[in-house]
Amino acid sequence: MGREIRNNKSDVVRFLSQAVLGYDGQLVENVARRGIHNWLEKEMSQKVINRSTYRQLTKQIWDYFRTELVAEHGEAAINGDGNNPALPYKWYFHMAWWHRTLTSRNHLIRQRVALALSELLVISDKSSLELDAVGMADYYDLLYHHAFGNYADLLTDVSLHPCMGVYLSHMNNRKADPGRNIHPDENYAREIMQLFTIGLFELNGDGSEMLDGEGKPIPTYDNRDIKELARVFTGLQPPFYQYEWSTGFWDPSYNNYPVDFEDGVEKAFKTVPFVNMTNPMKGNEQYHDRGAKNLLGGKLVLPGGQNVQDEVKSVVAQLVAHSNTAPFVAKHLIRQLVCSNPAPAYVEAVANAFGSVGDLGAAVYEVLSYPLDNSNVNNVVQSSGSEVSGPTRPAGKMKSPLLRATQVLRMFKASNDSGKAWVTGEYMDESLRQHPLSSPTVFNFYSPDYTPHGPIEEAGLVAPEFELHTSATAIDYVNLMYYWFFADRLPAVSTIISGDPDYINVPELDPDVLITYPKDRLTFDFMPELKMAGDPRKHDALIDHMSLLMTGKTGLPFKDDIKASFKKYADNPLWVVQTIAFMISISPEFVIQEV
Amino acid sequence: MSNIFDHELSRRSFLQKSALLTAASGLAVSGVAPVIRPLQAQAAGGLTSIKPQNKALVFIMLDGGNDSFNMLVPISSPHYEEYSKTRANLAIDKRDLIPLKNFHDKEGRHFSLHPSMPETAELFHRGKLSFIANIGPMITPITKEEFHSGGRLPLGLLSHADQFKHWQTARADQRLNRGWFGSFADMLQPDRAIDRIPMNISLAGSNIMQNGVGSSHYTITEEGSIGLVVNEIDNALNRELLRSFENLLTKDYGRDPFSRTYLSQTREAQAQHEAFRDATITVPVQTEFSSTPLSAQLRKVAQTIYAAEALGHAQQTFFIRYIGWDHHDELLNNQRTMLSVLSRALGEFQAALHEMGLEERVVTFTGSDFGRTLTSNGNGTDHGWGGNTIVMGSAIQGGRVFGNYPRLGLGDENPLDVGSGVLIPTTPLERLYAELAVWFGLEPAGARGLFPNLANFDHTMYPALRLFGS
Repeated sequence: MGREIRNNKSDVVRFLSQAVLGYDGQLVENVARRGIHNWLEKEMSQKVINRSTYRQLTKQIWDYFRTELVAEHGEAAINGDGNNPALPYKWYFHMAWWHRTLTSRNHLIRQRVALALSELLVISDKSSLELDAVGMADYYDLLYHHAFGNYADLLTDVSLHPCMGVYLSHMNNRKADPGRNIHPDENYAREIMQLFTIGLFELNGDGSEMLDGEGKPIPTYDNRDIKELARVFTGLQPPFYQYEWSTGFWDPSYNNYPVDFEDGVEKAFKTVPFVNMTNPMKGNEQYHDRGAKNLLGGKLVLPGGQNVQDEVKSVVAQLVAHSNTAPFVAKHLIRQLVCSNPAPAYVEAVANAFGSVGDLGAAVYEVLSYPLDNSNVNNVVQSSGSEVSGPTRPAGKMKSPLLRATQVLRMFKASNDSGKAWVTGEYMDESLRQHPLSSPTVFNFYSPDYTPHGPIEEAGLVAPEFELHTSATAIDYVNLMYYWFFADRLPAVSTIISGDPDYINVPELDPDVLITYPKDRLTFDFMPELKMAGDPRKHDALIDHMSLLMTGKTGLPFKDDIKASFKKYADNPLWVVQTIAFMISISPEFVIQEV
Repeated sequence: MSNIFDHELSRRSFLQKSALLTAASGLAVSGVAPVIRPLQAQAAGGLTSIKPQNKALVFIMLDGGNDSFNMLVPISSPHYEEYSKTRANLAIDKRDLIPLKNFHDKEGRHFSLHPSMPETAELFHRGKLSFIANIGPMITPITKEEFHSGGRLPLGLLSHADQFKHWQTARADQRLNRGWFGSFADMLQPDRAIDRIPMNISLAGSNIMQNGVGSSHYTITEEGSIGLVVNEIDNALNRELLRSFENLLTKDYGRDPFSRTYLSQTREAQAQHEAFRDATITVPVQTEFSSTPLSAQLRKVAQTIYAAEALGHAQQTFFIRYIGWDHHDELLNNQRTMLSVLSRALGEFQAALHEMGLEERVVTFTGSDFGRTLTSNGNGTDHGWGGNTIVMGSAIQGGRVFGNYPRLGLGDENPLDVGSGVLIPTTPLERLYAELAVWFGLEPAGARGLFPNLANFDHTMYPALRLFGS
């Protein structure tokens, strides 16, 4: 398969919608000039030196609000009894995430891959983790830092991270105590196999399910395997006690004090928000089952006598090396970035790049370059039964609501005067039903095998993101775009503390209050578009210009409808631009991403 | 209109496809197809059908696996002592439990409720609520020995996704994307026009239970249906935008199933919103509801049932998902809070139905992925199988515990314990579902088509529940 050189803007836009969280016209120009392959290689060769990118920013934002709180309410706002605690609530991570997503000039592919990994190795602030944005940001740093690294390293760090320990409950988990009918918690043992590595059924190298003599899929493990593996994740404890302010029951000297199973402190205080959530969990061998373990029919063996960290590392290495993991993770990455129904050869190519240690960089490179290097799209997307011809390339996937949001915001360079793009995410989560690290359960926002009724089902395809597309969200999305483009109501940014006397120790979250702070309000930059819109003779070209940027296409089938809808106010350039942007943002050309 | 959304055509071609698959593989690919076929034949003298009776079924999924042996607890001796010994540090103190009066099972077992559920106890005592003991998805009867020697187990036993699926389909031998509420809609609204609102209404977005072969559900929120802002603020600009939007929705994206589906779903949502809003918005509810999402959702359900006629619904189903019951950790604290939310919401909902004169027409029931291990993992419990479920409504025989409440001992002393207090169910889901479906109007013979595995359970070991009397 010869390498096809496709560097016109249309190809660049299609590629960027797969590769990054958002792009603007300038980036399209840059990539077109440099060439897609060259840009991809350069972008992926950038190293991350700072391992605490998201944590530092989250902490800075939280510190900023603490300072504001003290200035407004005095020291009592962050220390002492009788008030709501000024904890590092989830919003500070949201703000950091949005700030980076909307303002970063580099590491763009890495950001997209980190988000894709966050929908695989799921933790969520719809849990007690909402009390620790700094911990969650530190977890996100793992995804970001290892995005082009090694999956085994990433999964080891994830397994030992206190946020995962809280979310899937293997923190403070102890070995069996048969006399008291107490067995180890099985939660993490189950999900590390089902969701993070080997999945439920034996897979071929191309991601298809192996079948037994009766044509049925072959389970990878059973409950005995889970019970056996649960013995590994025992004896893990939080790094140390750490509470963010002092009260009548919490003396600052308790901070940094080691946590022990039998230290007389109730278990309710051995988790967020009373412990450090950024250092790896600590092992306590007295409560760790040090016996030998043998599961998956001898495919996963531990000799016993090892400490918990070494066992976790070994388990992860063996699970990642399992022949299922490469196609399992490959499929997830392809579905997140490029298409819902990858052809078997595509899955196999990415799985081979991933290999037995889990080379994420090689896998991501393959995910993004394979569609560029295969001019025959039938090698990329599983056939839908209907022939594909003409200028239209096949649908890859529905963009997730979050991805649509990040792309629209970057496309028109949403920014504010304060330079703090600290989006709280509150309303976004409500209307999109999606927000980073905020899934309803460990099963992510949508399941990988979801298929809506109608033509997709009839073609035998899956379309995971459609699980979020309902009679409510379909309209919510259109309304969101209306608010953004016409009502000047972009996502609310908060740099002020709450004015609600019932909730003094949080940022202001009410969008009706935030809108009155002009320096913080995000606005779109339509400068180049407005210039064209001032001249009605250029309106046709303007529609093509904007649709090329937003969808990679010109000559949209509803171009005449767009023109008709601004006909009566063609002399109002802003309305013209807003109308074009709105109509394209809700169109299939934008919402459905092509391969 | 263009051919973007040709409902009838899609449905037919899909049926043809599944018929081919069935013939080729020798497997029953579609569990619901047998019910649909007779319906199409029905016009010509018909077999199975469902008679619209102006009723509603409300399903509340306790998502994550409710530890229901701490919800419905035996309180008599020696049953409580057995409970207490097995559950060790998770056992609830006998003095805190709420005794359920005027009922004991045939083994002389008396029951009590979790301390945080006074409203539920009151409904029980007033004959409006019962429990089904140790129910769960099964394919065939199975013994402990068979369990350990390769007997037929529900697919993905003990895992969330599959067990949630089985609760929606009652087909534990398959992984289907269609459920039994969906087959009702296939039968009752086979050729629904796009501006007619689906009878299956979800407050939890996409789900399997309300998906049929061709039918799907209508998603609302606790506030009601979602409408276009451009449609609600009338000005020149918005009128133009609305017209363009509606034109866009009818564009033909012939070759691309993704674009077609995106547009047709958006179009349908847009067509149905106004009708839904107009029918429901003015329905008065006097009963006070708590501010929890569950209560707010049930309030909206009550309004929607009241508005059934205005919505053109002969029958309705509702799907609610209350997430967060996977209590591997902090079981006692978290379950207490959540059961209290559930109990209050049930009390409020039933009171509202009474106030609105709808009580006889509605049956509400809960489901949950699975019961949990009877034994503790220190601070919580792990995935199990059989569990106890709630059924509520004036139409049912209230104040009872149906089915066989299991012994709660471990190991050799309990033939149902397959390890750590994971219990083999004593009632298959289909027993409950079939009785609900017949109450809902399904001809009794139709239950066999809807729940094919029911035939695997004889009436001696697995007697009918007789939830609605004889």
